[in-house]
Amino acid sequence: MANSNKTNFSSPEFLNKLKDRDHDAVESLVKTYSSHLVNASFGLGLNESDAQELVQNVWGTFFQNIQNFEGRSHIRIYLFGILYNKAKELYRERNKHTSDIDLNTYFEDKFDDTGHWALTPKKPEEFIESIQTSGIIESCLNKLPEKQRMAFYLKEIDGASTEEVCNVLKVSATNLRVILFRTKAKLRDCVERKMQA
Amino acid sequence: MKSCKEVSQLLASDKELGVFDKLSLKLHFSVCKVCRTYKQQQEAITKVYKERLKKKNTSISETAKKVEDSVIKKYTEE
Repeated sequence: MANSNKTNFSSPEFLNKLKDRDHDAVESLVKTYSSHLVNASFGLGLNESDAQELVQNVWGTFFQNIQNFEGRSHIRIYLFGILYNKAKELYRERNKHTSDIDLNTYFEDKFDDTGHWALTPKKPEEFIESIQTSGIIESCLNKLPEKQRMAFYLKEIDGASTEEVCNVLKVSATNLRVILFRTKAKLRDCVERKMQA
Repeated sequence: MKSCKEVSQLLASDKELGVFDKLSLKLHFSVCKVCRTYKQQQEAITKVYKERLKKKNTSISETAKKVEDSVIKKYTEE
């Protein structure tokens, strides 16, 4: 969802202006991508002040390393890559990550001996009603490891392409499919558990 | 045809999916209502989360504005 209607942020001319800290260039880049980055930070579950700090740090790293940026990846992807690394640091500091699902137990618990689902799931409509007005999704998302949360945000919420997400997370397309499988299965289970609680 | 468990295991596996795998997934989902319901539930979570995020739009743009002002100032006046 890059905003490319005015300036071509990937052009060498623009990049040179950025490296010279040209006021207009810095301003148009920062004004284009700050709200994307803040949106992503909120999407990852951060509150206002944490999001502000995180995005400020992203820009700090970006401008510190701008001399080495060769424009090989799109600036948007490059920025999301920095955001991802910074968010990982932040969550590591706070020790918020929990363990991943154990797929062996998952398959044993969810299916009967014939390979069918062991339980009948609720209708999606009933499901929606109980998650619309509560913070269930947010609290379940917050328990996910950073990589899963970022994959979920970029692919499902932001609508980034598989290639873009792979680039940010530095994983293969196959890896990404597995990450998203785990993420969505875990989220769904968590939401269902909290709905019944 | 693959069972629901086999379909999930395929989706969770590290192997690259071939044309045959993808077809058998499609076929399974087209006939299996339970798998579809699970999938719809997952899609519902995404949809609702998107809506909830949209409601935070005002504080998102306010936060972005604060960041923009301080970042532009900082990196053009050094």
